[in-house]
Amino acid sequence: MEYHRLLELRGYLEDLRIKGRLDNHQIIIFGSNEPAERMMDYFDELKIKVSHIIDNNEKKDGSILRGVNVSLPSKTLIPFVENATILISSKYYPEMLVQLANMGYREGEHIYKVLDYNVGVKYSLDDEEYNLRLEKLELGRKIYSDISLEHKDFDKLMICPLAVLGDTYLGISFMDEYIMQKKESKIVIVTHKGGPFKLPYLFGYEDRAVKLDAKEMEALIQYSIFMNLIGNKVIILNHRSPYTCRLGEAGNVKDIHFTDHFRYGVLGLDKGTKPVVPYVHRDDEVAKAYVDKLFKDHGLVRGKTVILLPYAKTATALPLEFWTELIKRLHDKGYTVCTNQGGDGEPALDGTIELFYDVRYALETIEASGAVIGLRSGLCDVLSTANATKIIIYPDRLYGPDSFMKFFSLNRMQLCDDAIEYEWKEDIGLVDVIMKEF
Amino acid sequence: MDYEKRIAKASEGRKLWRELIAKYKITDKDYVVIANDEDSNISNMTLKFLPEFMAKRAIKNVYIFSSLEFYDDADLGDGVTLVKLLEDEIEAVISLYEAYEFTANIIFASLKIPNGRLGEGLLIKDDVDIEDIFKSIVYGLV
Repeated sequence: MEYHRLLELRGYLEDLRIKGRLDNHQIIIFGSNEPAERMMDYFDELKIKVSHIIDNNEKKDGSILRGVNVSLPSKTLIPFVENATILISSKYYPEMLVQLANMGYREGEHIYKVLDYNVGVKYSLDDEEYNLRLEKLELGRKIYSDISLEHKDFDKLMICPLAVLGDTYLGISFMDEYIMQKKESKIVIVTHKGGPFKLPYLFGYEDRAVKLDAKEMEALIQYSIFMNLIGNKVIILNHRSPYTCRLGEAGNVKDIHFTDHFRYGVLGLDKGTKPVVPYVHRDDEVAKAYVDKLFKDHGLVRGKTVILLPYAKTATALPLEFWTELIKRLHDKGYTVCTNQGGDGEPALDGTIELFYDVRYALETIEASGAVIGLRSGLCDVLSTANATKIIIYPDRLYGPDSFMKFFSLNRMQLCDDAIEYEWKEDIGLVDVIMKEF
Repeated sequence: MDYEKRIAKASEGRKLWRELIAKYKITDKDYVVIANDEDSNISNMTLKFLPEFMAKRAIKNVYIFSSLEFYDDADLGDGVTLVKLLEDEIEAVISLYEAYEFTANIIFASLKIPNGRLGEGLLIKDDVDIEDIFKSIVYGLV
């Protein structure tokens, strides 16, 4: 979850607490999703008990999420629970509201929308909204025209729609194969101006890359849909964008994993096609000089440094106690420990050095350090081919009908075959398990 | 179709949508299913999984917008109303949706439309069949 959205969620819960909607109430979270876990973080900090998690997914019925039972709504809410405070953060809020209303629960009295999933999406046909949308199409039309002029006779625009590393990396990692299999050599890669814009460099596509800001990106994508360009002149390298694709809904259905979405669902590549390992600038003199300086500036020792990745947008944060214990044990073994610095709301953990490095040299940086231990995030995709000890931790939760780990496993996605992967369980003594690698 | 014609088409779709919402008293708790894929297998799956979709989302009323004869005599199930439209009218609604996501309460019973729809490529996977893809992509059922 992005930091500003996390703050929004916590602010709403704090407001409910101040208004007395949490004390002496049964707190019930509707939807066993990532926001639910963020809500539980908040409640854990305040030692407030969550009574139940309810979910319409029958496969989740009877499971336990962080010590709280997950059940179908009818099992928990019938008979009527007078003092229920039902918290929802889901794109299906309207339907959930109706479902709960049919059981006698009321919005504002029992039911609260903690986070608006559809922020930025305004469902309206009124003149003001309609005209704004037409303006957006016009902007998209201009951007498409500009790109067409700059990159004459391109075969495909490959649009990486989101400012996220993992999706962008995975999409671009298939470009060599796409060009070979589809015999379309003239591709243009469109990325966000933010974090991912450097990723085409890893695969030697920096000269075919176009950077757009968020507004321009949205406009280009909308124009592409409107003009029926997707599939013909445009490919959106994502499983959840644009809103018309819906590919993400098939995640984990019959073993469909993240790589399958990209290679088969989005790009239509041959069976068994694997992502390409970055090779173009690998270990070149620029990278070597960059890493030498980085290590010198931070006083790091090659092979005796561990880089931690404690933050992720979609995976649930691990308890601070876990990281604290891990850092202590690594120090005891003589390692210097760094926290990967990725942006706002990601402070360095106590006892670690804050480390920011250019994603173009991420592989060389990790290899120089010797080891990375991380919560599964998009950066893990980028680091996946590093020749280093890679310990990746996945939250113990579902993704569609199966586990988050099954869908996002680096090994299973064929990004690599040597990641050491664990699913987070509170009772397996993960620090002890991890320390056997050091 | 060029840009200006598509804009005109979307505008027709906007006008038509408003008329239909008013005529059938469709509320924001109801869903519209655009069911115009000529593949009868797709039509069959549209009806097969509709009750499960309605139950899961606690939806009481669904309006099927279609120009296909397939639905004329079909058993639509409880809470489902057929709204027959011309193919041109269906295309106008699709154009509007391709201009922007003007409503959340719409389902396109297709693996080809609206533009950008994906899923068929996953059929290359062993054991994955068209029903797996259709019910997840179209209805979000897993």
